[in-house]
Amino acid sequence: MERSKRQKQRKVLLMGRSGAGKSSMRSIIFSNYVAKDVRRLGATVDVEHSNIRFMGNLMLNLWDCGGQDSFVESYLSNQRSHVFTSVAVMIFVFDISSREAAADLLSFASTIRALYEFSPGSKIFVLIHKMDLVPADQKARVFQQKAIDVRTTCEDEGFQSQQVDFWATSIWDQSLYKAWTQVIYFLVPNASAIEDMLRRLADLLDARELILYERTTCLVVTHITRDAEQRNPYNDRFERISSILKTHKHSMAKHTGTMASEVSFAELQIKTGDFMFFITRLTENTNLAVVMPSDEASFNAARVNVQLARREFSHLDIVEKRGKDVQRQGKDGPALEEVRMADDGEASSSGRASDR
Amino acid sequence: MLQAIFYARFHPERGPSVVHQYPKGSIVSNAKDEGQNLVSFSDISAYIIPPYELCDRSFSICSNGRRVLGFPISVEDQKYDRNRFTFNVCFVLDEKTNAQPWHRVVAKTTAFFRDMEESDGLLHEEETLPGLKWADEETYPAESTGVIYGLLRAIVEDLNAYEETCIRVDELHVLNLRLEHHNSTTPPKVRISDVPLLTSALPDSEQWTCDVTLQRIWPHMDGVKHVQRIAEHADVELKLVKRAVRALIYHQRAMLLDLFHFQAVYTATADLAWFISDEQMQEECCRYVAGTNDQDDPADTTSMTLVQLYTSLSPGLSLHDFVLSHSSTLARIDIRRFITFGVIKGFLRRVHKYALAIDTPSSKPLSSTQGSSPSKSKPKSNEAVVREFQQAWKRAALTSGWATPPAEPPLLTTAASHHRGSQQVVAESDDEEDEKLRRCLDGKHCLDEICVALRISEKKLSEKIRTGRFGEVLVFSK
Repeated sequence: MERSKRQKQRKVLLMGRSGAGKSSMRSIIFSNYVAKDVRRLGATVDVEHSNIRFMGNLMLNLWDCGGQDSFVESYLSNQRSHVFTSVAVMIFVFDISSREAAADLLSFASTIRALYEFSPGSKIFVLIHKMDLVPADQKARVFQQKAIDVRTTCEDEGFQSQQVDFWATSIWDQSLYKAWTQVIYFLVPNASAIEDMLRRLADLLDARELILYERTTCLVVTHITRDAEQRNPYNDRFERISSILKTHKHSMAKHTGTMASEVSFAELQIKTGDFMFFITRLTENTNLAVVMPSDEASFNAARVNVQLARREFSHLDIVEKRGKDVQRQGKDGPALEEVRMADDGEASSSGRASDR
Repeated sequence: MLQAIFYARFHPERGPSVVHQYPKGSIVSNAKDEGQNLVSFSDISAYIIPPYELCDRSFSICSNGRRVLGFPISVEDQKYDRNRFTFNVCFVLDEKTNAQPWHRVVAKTTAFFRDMEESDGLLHEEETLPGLKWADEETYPAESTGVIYGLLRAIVEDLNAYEETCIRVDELHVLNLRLEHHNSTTPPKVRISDVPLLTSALPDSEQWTCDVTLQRIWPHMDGVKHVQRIAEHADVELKLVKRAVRALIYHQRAMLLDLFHFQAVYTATADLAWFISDEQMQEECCRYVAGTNDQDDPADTTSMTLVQLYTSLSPGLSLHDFVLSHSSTLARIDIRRFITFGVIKGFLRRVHKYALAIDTPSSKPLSSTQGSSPSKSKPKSNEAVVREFQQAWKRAALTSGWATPPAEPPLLTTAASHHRGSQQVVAESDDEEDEKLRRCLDGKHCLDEICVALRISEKKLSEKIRTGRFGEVLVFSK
């Protein structure tokens, strides 16, 4: 497993026509806004930069770009190289209720043309937003149609089809979390390593499902589903849980009189006749949700094991300590890169005894 | 010189755009004729409509040899699209012009626009008017539509022609602007003995738009009454009169003269040479000083006479003595006007007397060189202590609500006790006066001022000082 001493920086552009919903999405996911609060947001003037720390060692440089005509003109002309260089991900938001579909598409084409010029290898996520305004029976059709139109445009501008992903979203349901989860999953540097470890843990616990959530945004990082659980018909259960966790944070904030960004919980347990479920902190920036069969003994064992496993997972999620700690790790040499139990783990993770 | 002015706002779809400009084509032009813009709007638009956190403060930027002064304003309200209405009114000047006097004009103009929007929604409404042309359209301006174009044009033309303007937009909204260049010096403090003289006419009372104080004191400002008298006659608080007069001086609408009385001393200044060489001014003076004379022989007062008279004024010569010695020549001359003319034109100045108390008598007993009656020195200092003590008691008593202060202070030496008896009766009533006087004897108050404040004549004041109650008082002229 690779441990990076430095943060990974990823530039993410968030673009779309004015009023498409970019800043609203950003506020809900990253700033703990509730859907009904975003009505009060003002228009973004030029670019709003946010630096969001994710999972400890990933730094998202999110560029929320104002969609007004004069700004877009500026991005495409005098700021062209400044905006479109070194882009990892472009998230383009289409407002499905817009009356100017043709103009929207043209604007999109110019934007990704500029993107291809400076960052041809970037990934594009196209979010077809405000789907709640489309009648339920037409949703699938409308989405498909739009996706086809947009995909054609992308290919015209030189992007391969695997570089472009489409998602239908709305701030009023969990689809928002689903789309952004995909974005994050794409960006997290050690996703497969995390999955390997989680798979091993799941086997050890004999859990039905393990889901790893990022703490502040409540977005799913990854999940492991075993055996019987794979037949679960609710494919969107993960983002629904994201949504529930988010709401839970808000109600905790309201009842304790603190800010939604500051609340956290130690553990949440749900026990029913069919299953048992708990969520607890795994690392400083992640929570682990564990779904167990309805058996008290294995449930308790699972809880203890997850506690013990915390130390292992702390490698995943290196909070950038101050300079000297990082150097101290360096001196011990690359042998420490491997996963180790007990005492060695402590020394190499520079004071993470608090994980216990 | 104001080269251009424009009104820009953040449009929810277009982004920052210029709605109105004057003159046409100065900031943005339609597609056909490019290249004549004074500044390129797209270069500076980020500074004209900045992020909200930077709004509501003065902002300026130089571009293309020109300076653009602005004050972006963001009005937050749910009724607007995207919850905000952000706009700016910018003045374009040449880069080398001194922009200092313009900042206030810009701030006031944008505040006025904000007012128009917040109270009547005029700005927002303007854009919904059919037939309104935006600045970058070919047929701009649509002069009969909306109020803003006319307002902007009036601002530019009036400020360039007259450096001030008063524009009425509708019944409620009037914009008054004035470009003021002489901001550097703070006007002097006005003393109660100063006499304000209006140097330019104030508008008719129908046109007053503000300042109740000025309205009330204006009829009393005749160049003869001093500030305290004006305050009494107009029944206005002294502080307010002083402030109003100071404002008039600042705006160069009035000047201060000294209090005219016959104990005053005047002397010529260096500018007298200018008076002597200027025949026109001499004629003007002749006419002016002969004013109250009913006899029709104006030729009697020649310039020569006036010059002689003016030059014979000197420090140390009080007006009283001057008049007595030149009584025949001055028979046909109004002495007040004679003096006033000189002071206004600047070739005469008043020599003020100031009093400074060197030692305060409340300190430890002084040496025998002090004061006019050495025999009184010891009890005098005790008496001063007694008096001060009494003052303090009185003050304390009155503030805490006691009926009467205690009859006598505890500490007194027996040597002074027989003096104390006779003096105590007089002491109390004079106490207040003396206190006030003592405070004025710091060398900063001219005698005129002290006389007016205490309402006594200069003669009486000199007597008081000479009693030695205040210790050694130095009187000097300046």
